[in-house]
Amino acid sequence: MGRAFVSVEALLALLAAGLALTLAMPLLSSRPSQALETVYEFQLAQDFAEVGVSNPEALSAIKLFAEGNAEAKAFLEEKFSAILSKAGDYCLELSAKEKVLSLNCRGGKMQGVYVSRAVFDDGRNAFFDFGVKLGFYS
Amino acid sequence: MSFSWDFIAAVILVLALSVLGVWVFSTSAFLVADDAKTLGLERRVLFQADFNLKNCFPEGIAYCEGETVFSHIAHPDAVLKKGEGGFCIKRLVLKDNEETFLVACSHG
Repeated sequence: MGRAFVSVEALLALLAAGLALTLAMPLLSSRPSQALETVYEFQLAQDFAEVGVSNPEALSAIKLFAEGNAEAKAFLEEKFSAILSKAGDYCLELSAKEKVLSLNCRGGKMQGVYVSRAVFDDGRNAFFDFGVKLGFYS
Repeated sequence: MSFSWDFIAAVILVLALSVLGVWVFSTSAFLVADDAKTLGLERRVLFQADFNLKNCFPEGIAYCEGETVFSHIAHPDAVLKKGEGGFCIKRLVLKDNEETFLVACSHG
């Protein structure tokens, strides 16, 4: 009789362990959405870079921005802010030479991807990198 | 009498473990199957959007001149909405020198 009660306690312990295991299953299962999320983030960053250098107006502004032109910076800020407002809640950081333009970046915990395009600087007859860093708030 | 109680407890234990095992297995199998289904849908949408961006209109949406594909530059006649509802993604493109979005969805 006494041994039987010990078995019931063991049964309860096993039931509890099974319940805990079941509740933990979502954490143990694969996370496909997260894996593809990184691919999408990278694609979107590439889109920003590609569209930036494909639009002649934006490309001229990027070249001027790299030289420190304030008007070009304001133009890029307005253009990319408008795009960003339609794209989603991302932090966008554009860089050309040592100049950096941050849009919708609030700080805090953020993960991001960086891509770049080579832009030809006519004045100096040399290439420079136009960088796009897209940050995602988690 | 002691043997009977032990036997009953053992039977209950085996039955409970069996039910628990089936429950845990079916729950986890359902979760994995659901994840796989979501993964398939999302992968298809990502692939479809990327295919559209990088292939000439009318198969894709890209503007082409001869054999040159201008990815991220949409053909003037291209429709920038593929599907509606479900899982949707946006890809940035240029259409008529204006930045806009190609929207691809898993439904439709």
